[in-house]
Amino acid sequence: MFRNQYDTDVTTWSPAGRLFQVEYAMEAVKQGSAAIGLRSKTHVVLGCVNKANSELSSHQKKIFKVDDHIGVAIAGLTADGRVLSRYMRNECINYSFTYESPLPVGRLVVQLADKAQQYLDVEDKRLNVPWHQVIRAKAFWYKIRGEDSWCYCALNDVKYLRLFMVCTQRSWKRPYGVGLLVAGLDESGAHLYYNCPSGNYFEYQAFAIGSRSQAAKTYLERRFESFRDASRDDLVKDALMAIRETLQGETLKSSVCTVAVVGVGEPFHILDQGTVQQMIDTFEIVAEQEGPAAEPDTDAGQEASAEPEPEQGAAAGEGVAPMDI
Amino acid sequence: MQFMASKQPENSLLGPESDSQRTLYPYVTGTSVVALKYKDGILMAADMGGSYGSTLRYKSVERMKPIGKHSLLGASGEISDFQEILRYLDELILYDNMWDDGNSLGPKEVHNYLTRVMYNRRNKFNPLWNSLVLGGVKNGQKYLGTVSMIGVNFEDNHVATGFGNHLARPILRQEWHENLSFEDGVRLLEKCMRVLLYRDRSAVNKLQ
Repeated sequence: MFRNQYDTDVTTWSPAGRLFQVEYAMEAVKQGSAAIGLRSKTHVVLGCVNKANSELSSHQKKIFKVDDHIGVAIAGLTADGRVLSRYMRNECINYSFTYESPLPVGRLVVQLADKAQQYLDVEDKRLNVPWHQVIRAKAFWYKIRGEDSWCYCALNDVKYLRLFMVCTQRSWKRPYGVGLLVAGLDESGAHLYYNCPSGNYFEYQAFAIGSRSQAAKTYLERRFESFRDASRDDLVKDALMAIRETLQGETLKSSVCTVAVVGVGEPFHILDQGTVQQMIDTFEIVAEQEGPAAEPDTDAGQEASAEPEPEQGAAAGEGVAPMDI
Repeated sequence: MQFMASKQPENSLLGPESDSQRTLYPYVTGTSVVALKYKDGILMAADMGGSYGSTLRYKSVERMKPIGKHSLLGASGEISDFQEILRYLDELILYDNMWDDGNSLGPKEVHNYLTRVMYNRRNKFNPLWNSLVLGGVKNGQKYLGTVSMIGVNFEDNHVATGFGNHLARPILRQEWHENLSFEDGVRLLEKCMRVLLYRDRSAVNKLQ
């Protein structure tokens, strides 16, 4: 995407009918480290790749618990993500307080999308800019100069002096640069939604966002049909394998990823590193380690398929032997 | 938004708070409501009288209304406040329906909402002079609860308001059991209402 004259602020349309700022915001999402989500009928799993600035620092928190039944994974500007999760937590708590029952995920997602859209559409705000600062530039376009920037606006806009001027002055009036994978449970089952900076939201069976997410998406597309009826542990394993796809060669270790689960009878929580490592060990084929045999499934209690994962070497494509029950 | 002194829209549900409009005492009141859980759901009974002080003035006041798809609301106390509550709930149910998703407000949610409303009003010294009984069934789950004028709320297997508390509940305590059939439930409620008719001066002999 190249820089052009229609991309200065978010309320300017391009002649082709695009809002460039919004599209740039979606680019920001693609720069963030990967996050994936998948769901079955009763459980939703979120996973993300931990990106740390340096060896010395800890990684950024990308998965947030919003309520006992809702969690969110973010990709993009983590600061925006934090603000949005605070908003979501507020909404959930307020609903819980008034109605004593959990906020349905679908409604939360719509509220989020509306909030994102708000920052794109500010027609009803008016601003007082002194007339002497209105400079007539072209026949139909007026240049309005404000505190520290200027913009063009059409004639009738001048009359109302719309707030889009402020958009270029105040830094918070921009689209949120974060994509959210919202995972939650409500009366109608388990749901996974993706909220993007444009204010759109979609429901997914499985999805991946962030850098190198295409590899994960390919993996998920191959296997998504089995997710609906998969057991909770299979779902987690699938999530880990999808994360591995995004790593592209790096070893999958529990220190590199974070996984969280929410399901029927299971409030949203982030799995601890030990559990995650155990899950990884059940399918990871690592040359230097002695073949990890069937795991003593301490926490994966109902995992009836404690079938010893046959370490058949390179011949076994990932996701073939252990998962196809 | 930081530029305008944009008034936070007044909560559309709570009315103005000038002194002259506070509820000081009720005018047209309804008497008790009795309700119980039976095998398949909720049974509720109330008479149809509206008293104006000690006169039994109105004989066909409906003091019970269905709310949404799942609940039933009965009220004793000031009738006009009950109608106000119905307006609030209409708005609530409308917004809920407008979402048009698979979720709907069940009796528990409505009950809590009413508790919040009643409590809020009491905090402003402008109470809705009602004792409410809210019952309903959602997804096979029965729910029966009550909210008083000052916001006290609880749920139970059988509830009553006003005089019903003193006259009907002892009967219910003794004779209620799980898995009451519909006929048994109705008979039990009739018994309670009969006692109320005998002993409560504001009861009329027309039931809903």
